[in-house]
Amino acid sequence: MKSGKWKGLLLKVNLHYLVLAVLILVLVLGMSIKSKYFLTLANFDVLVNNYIMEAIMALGMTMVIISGGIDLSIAGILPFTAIIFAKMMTSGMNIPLAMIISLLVAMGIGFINNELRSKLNLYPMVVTLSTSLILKSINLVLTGGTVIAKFPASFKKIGMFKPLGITLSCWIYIILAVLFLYFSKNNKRFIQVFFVGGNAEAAKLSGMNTEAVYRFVYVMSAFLAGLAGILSTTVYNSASFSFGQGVELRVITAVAIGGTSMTQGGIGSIAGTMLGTLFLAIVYNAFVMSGMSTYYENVVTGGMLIVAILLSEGIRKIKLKQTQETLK
Amino acid sequence: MSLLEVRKINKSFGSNKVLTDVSISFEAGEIHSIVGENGAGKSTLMKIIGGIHSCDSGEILVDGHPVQIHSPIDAFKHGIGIVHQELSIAGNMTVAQNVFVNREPTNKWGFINWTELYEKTNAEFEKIGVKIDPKVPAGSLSVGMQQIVEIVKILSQNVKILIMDEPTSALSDKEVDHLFQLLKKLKAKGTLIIFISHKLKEITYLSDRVSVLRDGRFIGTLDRENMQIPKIINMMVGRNIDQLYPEKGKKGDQKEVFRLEHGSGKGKFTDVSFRLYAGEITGMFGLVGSGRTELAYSIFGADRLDQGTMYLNGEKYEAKSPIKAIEMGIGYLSEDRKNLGLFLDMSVKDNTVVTILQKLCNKLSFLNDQQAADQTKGYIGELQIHPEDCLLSKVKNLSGGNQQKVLLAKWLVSQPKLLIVDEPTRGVDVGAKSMIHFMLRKLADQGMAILMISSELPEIIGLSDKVIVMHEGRCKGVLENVDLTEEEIMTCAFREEEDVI
Repeated sequence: MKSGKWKGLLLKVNLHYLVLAVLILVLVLGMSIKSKYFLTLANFDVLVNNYIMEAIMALGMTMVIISGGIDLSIAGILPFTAIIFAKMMTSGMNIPLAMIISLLVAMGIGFINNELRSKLNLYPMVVTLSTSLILKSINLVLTGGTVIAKFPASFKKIGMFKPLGITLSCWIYIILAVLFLYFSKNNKRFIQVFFVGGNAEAAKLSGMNTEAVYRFVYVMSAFLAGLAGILSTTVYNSASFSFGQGVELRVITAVAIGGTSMTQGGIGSIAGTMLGTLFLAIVYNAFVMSGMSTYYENVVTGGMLIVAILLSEGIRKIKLKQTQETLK
Repeated sequence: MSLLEVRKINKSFGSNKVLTDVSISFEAGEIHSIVGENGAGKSTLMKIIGGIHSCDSGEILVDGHPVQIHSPIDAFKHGIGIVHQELSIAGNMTVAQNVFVNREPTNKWGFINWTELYEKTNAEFEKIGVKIDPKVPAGSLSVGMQQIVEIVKILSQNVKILIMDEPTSALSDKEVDHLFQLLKKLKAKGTLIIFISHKLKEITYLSDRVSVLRDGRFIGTLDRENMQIPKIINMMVGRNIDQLYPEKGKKGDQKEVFRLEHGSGKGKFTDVSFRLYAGEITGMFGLVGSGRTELAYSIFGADRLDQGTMYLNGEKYEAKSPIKAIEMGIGYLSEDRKNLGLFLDMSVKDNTVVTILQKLCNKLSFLNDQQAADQTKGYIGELQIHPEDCLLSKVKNLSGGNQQKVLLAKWLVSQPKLLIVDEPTRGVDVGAKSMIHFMLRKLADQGMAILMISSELPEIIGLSDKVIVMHEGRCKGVLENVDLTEEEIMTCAFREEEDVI
C-alpha cells in the first residue's frame, strides 16, 4: 500500500525538478552558512547577472533541442549583433531603430541557419557550427580586434535603468520566461515543436508544416541571441568580438541539466531549463564566493550534467513503466 | 457510381516502372483488399491515393468526379485517410494531442482549449466503443492500442475512405480480432475500407472483394464466392504454386544436437524441456508473449537461463554470450529484421559476412575482401537474392523478402549446427516465403538442426517435423507432425495443466 502511494506520487510530481530544487537549496544553505555575504542582495544581483544572457538564450535553445536540433551559432550571433548595433549607434543612428535592425539581422541569421539545414539537408550541428565560425571571423574583421565604446550618453542611461533594483536584462528574462512557460504548454506553434521532435514523419503526414516549425525555433533562438547581444552592450557600454565566448556550451549544459533530452527529440521543458540555468549560476557564484579557484567550476558542472542526464533518463523509464502498469 | 475509382494510373521511380495502367473501382461499405507480392505496387498505389506520391498519368475519381490529390491534406479534403504501415504516433505526446494533431481546438491566439480537446477525444473513442484516458502519453500504450489511436485520429477527420497498409503485422491475435470487429462496424456505417495485407487467411476472412496486383499491373478482382487462397496465390505469382511447402524430412538416425532440461528464465518461461535433432525442423508454436523469443535468446546467449541445463552435442553448454554461441555453432535469425537483424545502411556483402569477420581476417586484422565478396556471391546465387548484382547495394534498398534472404545468408555463412529462426517469413511475400521454406528444408537435409519459431500455424504444420507448443511461458507439449491439424495445436496450447502428459 505504502509503495503504491509512493508510485502514485511519483507519477504526479516531477522528480527531476524536485532533485534539482533540493540541490539548489542545499547549495544555497551551504553557501549562506559558509559566507555571510552570500544571501545579500548585492550578491544576488551578481549571481543573476552573471548568467542572465545564458538564461535568455537557454529558453530558445530548449525549443531547438526539443525539435530534435541544436543551435551552436548563438556564440557568433550574440557578439555580431552587439557589434553591428554598436556600429550603427556610434555612427549616429536613432537607438530604437538600430536595435530593431540588429534584431532583424539576428533573426535573418536564424532563417539562414534553417534554410541551409533544410535545403541542403545538413545536420543542424554542422550548419550552426559553420555560421558560428563565419560570424566570429566577421566580428574580428568588423572590430579590427578592438572594443567599440564611446556610446552616446542617452544610451548609457539604459544600462542604469533598474526598476525595483532589478536590471533591464533581468526584467526582460522574467517576462520571456513567463511567456515561454505558458506558451510551451498551451500555444499551438510551441506544441508543434514537441510533435516534430517526437516524430517528424508523423507530424508531416498529419498535415503539419514541419518546415515552418523548424524555421520558428531557429529564428527564435537567433532572435534571443541577438537580444542577448544588445543587452550585453547595455551592461558593458561597449561591444566586443569577445562577447559570448563559449556561451553555446553553457546554454546547452543548462538545458541538459534541466532534463531536456539531447538524444531524443520531443522531450523537455522550459521549467527544467530555468532550474538548470539557476543551478549553473549558483555553482559559479559559489566558487567565486568561497574563494576556490573557478578553474574547478567545470568539474562540478560536468559531473552534474552526467548526474542530471542519468536522473532524467531513469525517471522517464520508471514513469513509463508506471503508466503502463496503471493502464493494465 | 463507385465511391472511389482509379483509372489508368502510371507511376515510375526513375527508370523503375512501378505501376502500369492500373484501374480499380471501390464501392462504399465494402472491405476491399489489395494483394500482391512485395514490389507489386500495392503501397505505391495507396500512397498515390493518399497524396504522398503523385502519379505520372491517370485519374482518381471520388463519387464519380475527377479529383486532384497532391498532399495528405488534399486526400483528407476528399475524405481519404491512410493508416500507415509504420505507426505515425508521437509517443511523447498524449493520446488526445495525437488524435487532434494540428487540429487542436484553439482560440484565435493559437492557445489550446484543453477541456474541449479532451471532450472531443472522448467522443471520438466513444463512437467506436473504446475507453481510453486521453491524457496518457501515447508511447506508453501497447502497439495495438497505438494503432487504434491512429485509426481514431484518421476517422475523426470525417473519413469515408479508410486505407490500411498492413495494419496487423505488429498485433497480437486478440488485437487483430478487435481491429477486425472495428473494421466491420465501420463498414456497416458505409465506410470504404481498403485493406492491404500479406496474410491471405485474414484477407479471405475479412474482405468483400480482393484485387490482385502483379509487377505493377492490375490482374483482376475476386468477389467472395471466388476468393480461394490457391486462386489468389495463382493470380499473385502468375503461376501455380502446387507445392507451397517442401516434403518432410526422412527419419534419420535421430542424432541429438541440443537438449534443454527444465529451463526457466526471467519469469517469461518456466520449466521448459525439449530436444532438437540433426536433420529435423522443429517448429515452436507460440503467440506473442508465450516466452518463445526469450527462450531463443537464452539459448543464443543474449540472455541467461535462471534455471535449467543445456546440452550441445551431448556436452553441457553454458550460453555466456552470442560470441560464444556463434563459436559453438549456433545461429539466431531474429524476428525483428530491421532493428536486430540487419545493418540497413550497409551493403549486402557487409551484412552477410558480419558473423564471420574474424575468420575472414588475417593476423593483423585486415579483412580479405575478395573472400568476403566470393562467399556473399555464393549465397546471392543460392538464395536467389534479387537483384543479382546487389553485392554492394545497401540492404535498405532491397525488398522485404530479399532482406530476409540476406538475413538468412548472414547465418548460413557461419555454418551453424543449430539454427534458430524466429518468424523467418514475417512480412515476406508468397514467392520469397516458399523459397525460404525450401531452403530451410534443404539445410535440415544437409544435417542442420533447425528450431523454427512461428505464430503462423500453416507454416508450423507445413514445415516442421515436430512441434513444440508454447503457451504463457510453458511448454504444453511436443507433437509429432503426422497429419497434425491447427485445431490439435491450439487445443494443446490451451489445455489445462493437469492434462499434460
